[in-house]
Amino acid sequence: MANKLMVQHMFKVNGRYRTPEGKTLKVVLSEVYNLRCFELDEKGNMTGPMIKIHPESELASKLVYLD
Amino acid sequence: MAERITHSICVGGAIAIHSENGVIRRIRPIIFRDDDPKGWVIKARGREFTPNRKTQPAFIALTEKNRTYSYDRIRYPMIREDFVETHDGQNRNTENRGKSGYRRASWDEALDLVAREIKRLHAAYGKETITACTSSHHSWGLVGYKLSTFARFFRMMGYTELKDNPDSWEGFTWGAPHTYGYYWRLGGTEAFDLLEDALQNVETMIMWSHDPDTTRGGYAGNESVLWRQWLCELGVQFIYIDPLNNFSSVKQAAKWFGPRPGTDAALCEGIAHVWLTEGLYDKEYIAKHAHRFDEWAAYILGNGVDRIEKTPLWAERETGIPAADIRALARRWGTTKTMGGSGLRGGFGGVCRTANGTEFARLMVQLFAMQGMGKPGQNVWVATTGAPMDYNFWFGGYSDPLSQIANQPVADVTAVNPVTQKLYRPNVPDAILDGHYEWYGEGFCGGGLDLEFTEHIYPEPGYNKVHCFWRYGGTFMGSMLDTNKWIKMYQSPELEFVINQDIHFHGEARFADVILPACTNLERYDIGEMCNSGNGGYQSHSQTGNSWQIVVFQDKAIEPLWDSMSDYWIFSQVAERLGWGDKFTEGRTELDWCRRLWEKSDLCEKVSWEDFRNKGYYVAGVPEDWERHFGFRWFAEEYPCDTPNHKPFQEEGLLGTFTGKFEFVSESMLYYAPNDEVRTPIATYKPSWEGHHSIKARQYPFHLITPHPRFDYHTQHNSSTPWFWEIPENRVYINGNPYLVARIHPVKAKEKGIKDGDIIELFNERGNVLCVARVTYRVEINTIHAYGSSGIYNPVEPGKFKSMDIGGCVNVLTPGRLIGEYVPGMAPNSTLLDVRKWEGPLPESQYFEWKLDKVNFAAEPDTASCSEIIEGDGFNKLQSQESRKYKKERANV
Repeated sequence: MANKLMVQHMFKVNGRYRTPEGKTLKVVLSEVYNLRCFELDEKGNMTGPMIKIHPESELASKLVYLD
Repeated sequence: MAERITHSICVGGAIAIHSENGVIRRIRPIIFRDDDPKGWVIKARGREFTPNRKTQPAFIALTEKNRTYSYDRIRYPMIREDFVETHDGQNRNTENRGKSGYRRASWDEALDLVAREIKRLHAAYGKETITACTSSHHSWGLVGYKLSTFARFFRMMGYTELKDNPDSWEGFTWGAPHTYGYYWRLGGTEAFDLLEDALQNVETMIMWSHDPDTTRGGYAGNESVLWRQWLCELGVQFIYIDPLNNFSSVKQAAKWFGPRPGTDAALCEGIAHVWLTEGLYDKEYIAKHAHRFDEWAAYILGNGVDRIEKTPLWAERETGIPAADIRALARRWGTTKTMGGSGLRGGFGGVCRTANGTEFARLMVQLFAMQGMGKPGQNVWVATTGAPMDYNFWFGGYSDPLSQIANQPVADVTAVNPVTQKLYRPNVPDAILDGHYEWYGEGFCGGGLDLEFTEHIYPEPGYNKVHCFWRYGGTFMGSMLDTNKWIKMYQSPELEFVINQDIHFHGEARFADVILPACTNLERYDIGEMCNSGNGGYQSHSQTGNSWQIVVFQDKAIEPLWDSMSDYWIFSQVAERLGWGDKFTEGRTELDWCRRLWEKSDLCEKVSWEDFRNKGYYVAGVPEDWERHFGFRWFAEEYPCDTPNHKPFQEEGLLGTFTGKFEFVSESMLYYAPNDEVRTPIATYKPSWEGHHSIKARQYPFHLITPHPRFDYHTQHNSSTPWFWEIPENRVYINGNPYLVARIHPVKAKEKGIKDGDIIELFNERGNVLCVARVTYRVEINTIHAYGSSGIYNPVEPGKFKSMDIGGCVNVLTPGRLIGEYVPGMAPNSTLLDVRKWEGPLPESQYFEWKLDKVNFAAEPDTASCSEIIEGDGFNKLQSQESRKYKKERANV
């Protein structure tokens, strides 16, 4: 458990990340199990449903920090 | 018509509502269905523990019917009779606020007036000239909540924000973070999975200034009553420390200690002395995890600057608790696995709302540190939170920015307040009356220790002063201190316009120029999770105070009564008149916002919107093999922190203090405010500025304690729920007035010639209040006990400064003074007063009912009067009238 959590805090709350498909996600919560994100549209607005990403998942490893 | 069952959540818990023909018939707990998840099972000491399959609301929730049809409902928009709408805001008879009656207005008239005044004030002074604030938690639900609809409206309009003080946990907010961090939880600790830990390991519970059956862990109703029963059945010894042998204590205490109010820090030091001299503490733990412990120990042992040894005998002289009892308490605590803490979630309690509250909070944390806080069975935990939950299910709580309609992603556009000027709640009257006010601290300082030391000035340079107050929900005349200064403020011409938006005709509503009647949350749509204050906020994961994690579609049980409307409707109508109605609503109804909150959470993955609405609730089950994240265990056992909502530095094994350890000499205080006389670098017991060592004590020898109420939630229930007035431990109804019970020790009562049931006058230089005496050995000998914030502000001469109160508003007597220059907390439990038998005439009735009766009879000549609703068949008459109206409307449809 502890090692997983060290990964969790490598992601910055309120930070923007680019997915491999080119979407921009904003991390709004960093919890025990999941990063919780929303997709940002071109104006920077949060859209769509809440997206859960496990910090040890493949997707998480491919997220690129923007700012 | 068939009976209809809807669901809702109130501050007292989750409920099911049975209504028929447009009226509420009964309210009960929600009973879970067979297809709802199984409850968690905790195995401990050869037994298995699982909760009952229902919600367990407190009685304040089960009486919502009485509160909905209450005698003091504001039925119509009203305008003060002698209010004059002058072009410059002057000569408006402001001195008559509180005295004058009201006339009924139409919604259009009232809303047009409000809109005109806002435009005038904006033109004359700018947006900052309007301030607004809510009471705490007058209505549950994410749409209607103060951080949602209210915040959306005012941030969009622009206003001088009125910052709340952390009124329930003052000493912990301003004190405890300097010992162990947790500023992001306002000085409270983390209770994750500690119910299981306690059931398996604990032997002694220290319930310090804690009455869980009364304060219910916040918003969790009676959910945790069963847990404490389980602990009793396992032979766990409960020790209660409180000037009142309180309602939980009389039920389960093995021993009650009643310290003189304000001396609890001395008791801490006496206990520490025993541990230090008898070696009854965890030396290995302290060696690893404490900072400058030896200097503090030297102080306790008489080698500090005061050269006074803090022996049990020394503590006895301050607290009144015999030294032998202090030794026994210390030995029991020091030799058994012990959990405990103060107040409703371990970091609250009346004891922290005293002049010495910060030092008590720091010392209490230090005591738990000395016993190895975080080890199995050793922790700050008070049996009101820490049930298993599925941390992988997320639904927002009220303090989550993600679940507020003021913000994205729930809203399309986040509302941003362009005004930076602020006011501070406890001192609004001082700021308005003096025109200038300065203070330290952000109010809630969850963002960091440095926020406690930020300086604020009102008016902020470049801004105008406030000339309009929009008061929303509840009343501070009862929950804030020194009530009379609020009267002065309201009658000042500085306040050119006062709006009050509320459900009931509370104390502050009677000082408004225009009153906008809101409906209860049983009369509108909303959505919410029981006891969820926010998963990331200052009480993160507070829903672990429930046995079940339950999200409720708060369906409209009945239509809004009389002319009342939802808060959302009221704000949207004003926004419309100001020209930004569409921007405010984004085209959404309240039901649309509810759906939006479903859509932006995990709830939408678990249940369809239609099924959720039809069923009315969703229970998030706990997996059988749920992962444990025991609170504070990570620190004791030195592994990276694994509890929810932790900070990155905790993963490195550090606390949120400067050194990352328990600071027995606070480095943060030495850095930020080394000259703070309240929070010295070493936390110490200091006699109160209004306590038994004060000169004032010669004239006013009794201490008043006014803890969080049993028959109320802030000011929202007792005043509007006359059913409670039939409870002799609460009120006694005489001559049409419900007198609040004040408790006095038999020895002192005899000295004063007071008998049980006598009318007594509590008085000091700030005012006087009539109560009914309850003569009981349950109260410490120097103490008068009367619940805070449960009073009805009911002065015998309405609108007169320092008029005698007969509603039990004991905050007439409490000091407006803040804890200290650098500590902007309030200290109601540092109040001295005297008491005498009341020999004068008994006033007749409540002095505000006529104002409502006048308006109500003008609108409906055959309606019931306030006194008929309280005493006679008026309650049934109202329900019959509503039922007839409902049937007629249905027939027309």
